[in-house]
Amino acid sequence: MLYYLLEHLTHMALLMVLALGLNLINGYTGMFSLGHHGFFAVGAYAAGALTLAVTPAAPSLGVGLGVFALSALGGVLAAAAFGVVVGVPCLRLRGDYLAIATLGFGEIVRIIIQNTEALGGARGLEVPYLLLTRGVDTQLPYVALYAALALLAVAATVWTLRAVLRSNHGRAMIAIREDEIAAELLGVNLMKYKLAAFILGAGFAGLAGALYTHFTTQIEPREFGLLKGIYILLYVVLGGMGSMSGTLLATALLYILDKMLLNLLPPEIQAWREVAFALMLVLVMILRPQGILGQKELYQTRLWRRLFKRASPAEAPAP
Amino acid sequence: MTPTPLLHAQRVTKRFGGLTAVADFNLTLLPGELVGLIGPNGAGKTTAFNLITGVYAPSEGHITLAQQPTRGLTPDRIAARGVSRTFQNIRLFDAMTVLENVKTAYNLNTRYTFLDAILRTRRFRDEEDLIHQRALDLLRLFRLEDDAHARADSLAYGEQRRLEIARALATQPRLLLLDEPAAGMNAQETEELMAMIRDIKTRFDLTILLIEHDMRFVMQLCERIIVLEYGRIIAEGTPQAIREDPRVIAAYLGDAAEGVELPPQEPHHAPG
Repeated sequence: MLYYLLEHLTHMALLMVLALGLNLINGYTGMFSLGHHGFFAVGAYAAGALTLAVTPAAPSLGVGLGVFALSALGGVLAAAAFGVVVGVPCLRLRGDYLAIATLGFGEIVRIIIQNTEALGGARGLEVPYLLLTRGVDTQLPYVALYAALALLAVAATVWTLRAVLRSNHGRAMIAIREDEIAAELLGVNLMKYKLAAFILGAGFAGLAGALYTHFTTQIEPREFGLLKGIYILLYVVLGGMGSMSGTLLATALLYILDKMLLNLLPPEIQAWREVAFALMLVLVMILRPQGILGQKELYQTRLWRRLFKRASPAEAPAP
Repeated sequence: MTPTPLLHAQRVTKRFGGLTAVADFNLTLLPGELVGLIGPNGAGKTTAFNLITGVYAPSEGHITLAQQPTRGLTPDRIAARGVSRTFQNIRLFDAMTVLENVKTAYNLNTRYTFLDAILRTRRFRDEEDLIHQRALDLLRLFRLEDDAHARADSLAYGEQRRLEIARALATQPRLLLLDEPAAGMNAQETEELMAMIRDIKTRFDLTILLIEHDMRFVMQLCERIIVLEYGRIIAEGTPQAIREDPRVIAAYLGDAAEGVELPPQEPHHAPG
């Protein structure tokens, strides 16, 4: 039971990293990217290819650790580099046009991988176990290790994005979302900050991809399809564009709901759960277009204050 | 010897398709001047602002800023050269706090990198402290410090206009363009605004070009006034000269303007 929980926790945490990165692009900087799964794929395949290229036949733990770190870094840098490659031409576009261009990018990545024999083509890529072997008796430590790594990645993402958003660089990004023209006239370099948001978001998607490759040890192009991109977008939109805790909350809720439906529904109607998700997105857009938390963080909500800050004098009504 | 002009626009023309929004626009601003740009709606005043700040590129003619041509520069680069502005239809960063609005405008002078911010280096902390202090000082000057942590769109209209000026000053400009700063203000607020503009002009050593429909405001505040009609300058001179110029009276009030008066002359306020 714990094993399954940790397995799911790992997948969920990696989705959180993806969604947080997309939230920086779509939620905080106000662009509309639909290609986040493309960066995820680049990170996963870069890490995979790098691992296959450098791993010796029977790696020791030290070597395994080195390869792991190297490939993770490679995944991040490759995805970030793709952020530049896609960003420079595409970021001149706005709104719908940017969405379509990035969507096209995601598809191109998948199709190129699918047709590149060196990357395993449609069969996919298989990498060796590096840190721990996932055998019958080591299953639990294996998933525990990756759950810990994935949660660490979430923490690192939240930390980094929070630090950026509370700096003048982050303010410039939010200013672009609020009013692009005013931001530019006040000295904000639009291209620089849009690109920075793109690179940061892509880099974290690359990190998620690298961890995903090492965790599952088998990746296939079809896992990185548009549907993945739409799911990530759904987490961001449902949680609230411009709210990190909202993204985390929505990812957890939707992931759990998805798995519950998968297990509870009889097999013949399981495919309907995607309909349920689409329906949910429509309902959210009608009933609460700003998402669960809007642009607030969890600790800024009224409910949170009522629960945890009752005694705080700052919250007492003014006399 | 005449001082070097801060801004020089020479025969600037801007066409949108068949429409000529600004034609043959000439303007020389000397350092320290306070000049008003007036004219009926649609005369091309805001277009002139957009040309100076680089939102539009001129179709013809050229603009120099401290003798450097601005052609080809993006608005943020022109802002970096010392031009800042406010907007006719207020453009604040609504979802940000009042303080953050001002802090954002320090972006031009932010030296720390993304990495500094992520690692919270000394450079980052020192600079953020400085930005914080300066932003608060500006808010204090505009009597907005009590609302520093309120959302910008929660401010009253007149306060939003003041915040826009505070934010524009945070870029540390030499040339400040104010697009209808008194719009929507009552008589008392307008009076205060005038004092405030005089104050910041000396305090920050500014050159100011402003668009305004409130004639009393322009006549009292500005040393020189330029009148635009249909994209062309039809008159230029001291408030006194503009008030008596028959072309201006005609432009504002139509040709049948006999017997209609522009606002009475006020006792002259010494600038600065």
